[in-house]
Amino acid sequence: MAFVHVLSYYIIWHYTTAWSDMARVVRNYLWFVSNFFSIKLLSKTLFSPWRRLAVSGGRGKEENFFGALVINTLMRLVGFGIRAATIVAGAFALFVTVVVSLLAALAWLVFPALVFFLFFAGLGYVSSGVFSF
Amino acid sequence: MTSSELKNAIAIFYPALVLDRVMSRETRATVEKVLDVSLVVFFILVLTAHLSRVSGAFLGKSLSFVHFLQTWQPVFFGALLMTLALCLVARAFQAFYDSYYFLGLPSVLSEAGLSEAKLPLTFEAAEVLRLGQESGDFTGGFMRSRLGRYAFARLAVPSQALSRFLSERVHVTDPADFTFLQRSAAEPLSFADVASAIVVADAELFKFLSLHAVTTKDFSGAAEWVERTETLYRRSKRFWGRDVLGRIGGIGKDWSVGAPYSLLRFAHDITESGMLNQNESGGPEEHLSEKNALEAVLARTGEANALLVADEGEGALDIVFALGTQISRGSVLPPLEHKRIFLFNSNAFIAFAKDKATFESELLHILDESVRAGHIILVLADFSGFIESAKSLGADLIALLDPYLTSPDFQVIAMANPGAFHQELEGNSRILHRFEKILVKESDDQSVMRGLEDKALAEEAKGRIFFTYQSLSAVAEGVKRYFTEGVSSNKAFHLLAEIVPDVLAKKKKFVERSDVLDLIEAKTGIPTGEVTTVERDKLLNIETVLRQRVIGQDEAIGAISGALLRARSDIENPERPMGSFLFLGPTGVGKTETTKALAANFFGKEEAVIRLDMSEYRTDDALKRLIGSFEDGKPGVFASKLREQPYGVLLLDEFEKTNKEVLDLFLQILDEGFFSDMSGKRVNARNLIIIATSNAGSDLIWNLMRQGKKLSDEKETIITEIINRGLFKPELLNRFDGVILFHPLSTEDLQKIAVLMLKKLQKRLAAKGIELVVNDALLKVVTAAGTDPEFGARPMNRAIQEKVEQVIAQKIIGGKAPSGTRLELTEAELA
Repeated sequence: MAFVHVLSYYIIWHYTTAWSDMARVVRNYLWFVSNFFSIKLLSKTLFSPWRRLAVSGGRGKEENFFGALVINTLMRLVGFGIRAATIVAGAFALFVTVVVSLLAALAWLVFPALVFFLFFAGLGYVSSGVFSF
Repeated sequence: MTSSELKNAIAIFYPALVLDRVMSRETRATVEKVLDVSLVVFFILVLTAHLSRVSGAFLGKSLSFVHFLQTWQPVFFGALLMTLALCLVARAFQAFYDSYYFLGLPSVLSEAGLSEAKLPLTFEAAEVLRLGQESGDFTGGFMRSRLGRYAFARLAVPSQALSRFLSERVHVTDPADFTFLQRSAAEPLSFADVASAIVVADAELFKFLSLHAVTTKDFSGAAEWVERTETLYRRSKRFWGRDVLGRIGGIGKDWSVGAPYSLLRFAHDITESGMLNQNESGGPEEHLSEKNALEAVLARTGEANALLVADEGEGALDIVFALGTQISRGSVLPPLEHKRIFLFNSNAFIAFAKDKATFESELLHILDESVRAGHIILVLADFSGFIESAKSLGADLIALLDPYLTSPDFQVIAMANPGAFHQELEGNSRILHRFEKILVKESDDQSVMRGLEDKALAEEAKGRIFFTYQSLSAVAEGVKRYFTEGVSSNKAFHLLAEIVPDVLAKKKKFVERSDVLDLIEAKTGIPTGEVTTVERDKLLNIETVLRQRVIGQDEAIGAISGALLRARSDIENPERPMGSFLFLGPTGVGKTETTKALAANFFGKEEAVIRLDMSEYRTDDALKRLIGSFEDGKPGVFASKLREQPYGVLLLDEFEKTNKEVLDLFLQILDEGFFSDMSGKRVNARNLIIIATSNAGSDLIWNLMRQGKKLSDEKETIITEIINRGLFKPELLNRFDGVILFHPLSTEDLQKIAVLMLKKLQKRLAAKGIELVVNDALLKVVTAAGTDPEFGARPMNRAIQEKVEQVIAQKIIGGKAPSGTRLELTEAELA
């Protein structure tokens, strides 16, 4: 009796609350991935010099001006390169997360059928295997 | 909550609760594990069969095995699919369960629709209430539930006793008699609330708990602890939650900031260390407001530096650690995101610098680099000490720091204890300008208790030991009562850590209340444990014993005995002295004698009296002499005596003669049970019986006695008169547990005293082998010569010395009373 109770609760949950739960989990993972790859932070500081490494030409050091310019540009380029690569990797990870989530949602939709199919297909294989002896 | 409200509230969690009933959580976990293992096994079998078929990888192996694999492959494959299906079903049901199980779970990082859902009760409460609701027996439901049993284990109530109670109950309390109420409207009904409600409604349970020495407060406290433990467990299980995911650090967080190479030689990054592993609940709950204040100050733009003023050990560093944890989790105010907190080792730096030039250049170098790095919050743990050390090298630290303190790219958290702050920092306007002061308050009882619970769980995680709730509350109370010096939470944690090896040495696993009390007793020498039989007899008889020694002062003795009984039965306030009395009365009526008798009988020896003659402390330097003087660094008489002997009777003779400052000092001691000495350290006076004696108002007492009035009826008149004369302030008199009037002695009283005194002489003579016979003649002479109502029994001593001892001495020296003589003095001899 109690089991029937649980089953009815389950079925209702599967097609109502479960969706919002799943959406929350997906949001958490998206949040985590973007956080892990620091996408927001890196985009904001995309053109900053790498680890604030910079030399100052400064007053009275005019002869060094071009040297400083070259080094500082180089540092910014290095910074840009590494950051851009990370952002791209992060974007790809986000994309994968979205795709996996969509697939999971699809599987969730047909979950009862999927389980039935797997189970009975399995049963078929087992019985055919056993009966072939 | 009405019963229908309760029903609706439980219904929120109903699906999960029903699933628990169909198959318990433990069974489900086992089933899942078995399915997982089978899935892996079938997968491997299918894979090897497939490999053998396509690649002939097993050619060298025996043919029968390969044959077996190949013929059975479809069966394995079928089993794999079936197990997969079952696995999915199990997972789906677990997700279904979790959906309700994690509902309303408090979280640090907010998630839409999870923690902000306002639920009327917690999952733990619903779990026990449903059991009660179904059986119509809330008490039984509570005691049978998983968490209920756990709570009783924390309270050291054995499970056999629980089942015996349940089977032998006289009646089951009607469900309608229970009223379940939330602690506050904003919070859901918790497991602890349910526990309190049950013990209030069920008198039989209350009796059962008392029988096992569990108070109502212990009961709800243990329930709260159990629920908090459960919540932490739930949160850790939720691996897809932001609280867990947020702990995984990301990449690239420090790519836009400089690397502070020279700073790293003298400082280390504490952003992700410290509290992270210790405190699962997301930072210390104690000092939450201070932590928020610190966060707010640091998040300002420009001059965002904080000065934490806290007693040593009050956890100023813990606050910083907690903020670090928050930063690393990303749950911090936006301006502080990606900042790093570095703890500066100023001692190492001073040792390195050695002279002024190196100190200044190296410090500026570090500061420049930190500003360039742009994300550094530097913690200077002992700020005033660092300033002093810099001064000794000839450098002005504040002046060096000042330009950097305004930078938005660099921040400082300085720490100082209140003494140093008031003395050295407060007067410096530059510091006050650059730093925002945050005062760290002493943690309250509740947060000390929570801290203890967390620490206890951490100790238990190391294995081998189990703390009962009572042992923790004994730690919290014991620290308050017996160790006033220092910060209570810190001391409590130390005591807890000390108990573990102590208990293990006794080959025990359960830490009980008595273990804690024993440890405190061993550390302080103050008896703390349960009242022993010998002591019990002593306590119950103390009134009789005192009466034998002190003649004619029954009211005084009754009041004192009552106070002692209260003190040893633990019902009095632990934050005050054990007892405090003001003895008023003329000289020689037994005030000092009562005190001595008390010390001898209760504390075991007459030397347990700390005596201060207050007439010596009437000059202006009296207070300095008592508590010590800061200027010349001399310790005070009173402070030193109390440190040596914190347990006994404090006798303050001629209390009215001291000056106002000293009276104010005692005003505080009587109220709070401690005072601070010259260096600001606390001195404990909570294990003292304080007795102040005074002659104030003796003339009044005399007059009233002459008029034939009863002293106990005239107490008010006498006290009012004493106040009117300005001898004591009313607030001081009110703080004594009792103002006791000693009345002048009557002739019969004096006669009895004469007998007592002669008996003492008898004893002394007996030691010399002389037996003195106390006859009527002797008594008559002593009473006649020694009775002077004005001075009570005091002249009696002199009378015995002059009239009796002298006569006996002459006899002894004259050789008329050799050892073994029976000495009987006649009236003629004594005249």
